[in-house]
Amino acid sequence: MSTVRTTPGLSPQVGRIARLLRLDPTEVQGLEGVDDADLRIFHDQISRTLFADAQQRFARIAGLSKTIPGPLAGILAEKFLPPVMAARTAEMLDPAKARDLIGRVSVKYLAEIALALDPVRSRPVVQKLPPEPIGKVAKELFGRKEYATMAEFVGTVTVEALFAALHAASPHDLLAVVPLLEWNENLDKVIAELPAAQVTQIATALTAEELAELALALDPSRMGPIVSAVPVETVAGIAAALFERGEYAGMARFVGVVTPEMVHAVIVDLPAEDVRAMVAELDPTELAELALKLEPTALGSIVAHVPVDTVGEIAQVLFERGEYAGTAAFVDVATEPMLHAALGVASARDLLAIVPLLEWSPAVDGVVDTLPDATLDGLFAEIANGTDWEAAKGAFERLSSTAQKRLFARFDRLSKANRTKIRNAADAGELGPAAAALMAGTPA
Amino acid sequence: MTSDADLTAVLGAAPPAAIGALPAETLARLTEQISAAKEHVHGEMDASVQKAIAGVPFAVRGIVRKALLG
Repeated sequence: MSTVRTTPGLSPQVGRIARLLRLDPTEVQGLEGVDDADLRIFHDQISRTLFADAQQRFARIAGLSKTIPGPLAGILAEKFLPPVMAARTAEMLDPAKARDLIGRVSVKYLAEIALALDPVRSRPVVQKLPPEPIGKVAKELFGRKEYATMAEFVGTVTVEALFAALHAASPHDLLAVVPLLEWNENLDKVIAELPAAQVTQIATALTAEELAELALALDPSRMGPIVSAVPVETVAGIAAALFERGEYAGMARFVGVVTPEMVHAVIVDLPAEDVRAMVAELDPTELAELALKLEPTALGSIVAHVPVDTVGEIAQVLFERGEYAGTAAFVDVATEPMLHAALGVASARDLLAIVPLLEWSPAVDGVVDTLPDATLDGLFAEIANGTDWEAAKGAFERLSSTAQKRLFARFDRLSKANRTKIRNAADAGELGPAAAALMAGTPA
Repeated sequence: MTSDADLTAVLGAAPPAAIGALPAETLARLTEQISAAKEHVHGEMDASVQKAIAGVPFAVRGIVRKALLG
């Protein structure tokens, strides 16, 4: 059987139909505007009509495999059963028998059968096949550049078979096949666990432009394992290629997987308009996740382009996750209006946790000094209720004297029980010097 | 018959609406291509059946003939 390749720009489904009709894809004209789902149905209708009369015969041939000894069945099949018919028969085979037969025919014959198999009907049989021969068939098909047909089987094979198949792919095979894949959990697992040698091969064999292409096809967030094997200068090249294509959303996700050492190459020194466009593609949750990954210089480059309202939403996400160190790093590079937005959404508990972690500055003082009274009341109650005097001391002693005085001016608003707790802590010497002094001046 | 009906006849079922709505010329060509492939498959199948029956070892010829010819 001749090799039928999908013409670039043509749906792989047209390639499958052409294969069924024993034609070159260019001979199947007029289907360009039809969507893939309809083309799949059409393919199956053609397949049924071509082989309808022979269904009984295929069933009998499949049954014959139970009678004839395995070695002979393999030889007879390869010699007398054309691959397209073998495929129809294979779909009816007992899975255990298929498992036995797969080792008794040549890889070339298996590859021809694979090209003619229906990914859905053959699933029960294919799922029972061992990964090793599937890897060999994949190698043969990659060699023939039958990417579109292979991509059809992603949902058919087991994760082990997928490992074996993608292990047989060269970096350029991956580059060609990945854009055609319908993503599923198995693929996620296989890509995340590519063998180190293959990752290195991909990282070194593909150019920065090709890696950018792969990043977009995979989704940049899945590029982590590959990026970690790529030299820093290539990472910069990938970023440049993504920006050149206007792939700001892709770039934003790509930044999330580069190592901290690579961040400089990717983010810092980028033109402001590129960073702004990239930031605009991310929602507050994604920006929060990015903030957790980036080191201060890179984070600063990004935060400068985040709208103030969004900063509050990012802080909210980080506080909800208890990511106080991450929030502190984020706050450290924020402007004063951003600080107001970020600390404005903090609960008393959040403030108590984050204040000791902040890089203190007049700007932070300015924000804390203007916290609403209700927040200060909550903060004071949180200190008393928590009775973690060390943490409270750490936070309180960092506040400006204005904030400290504002806080203690509200001492009598605390419940009697909480007032007692704080007095007792002061008597026991558990408060810091500023708090102790203010406590001493507070009427009993 | 219309081209759509011809295609339905050769398929044994109506094609998806998006395909049924294609220009008559396209449908006619597809119908022709499917009919030709059907003939080709039948011819190929008959040839491989004969080849198989004649070629398999004598000991299994009987069961192979039965499987292939019914």
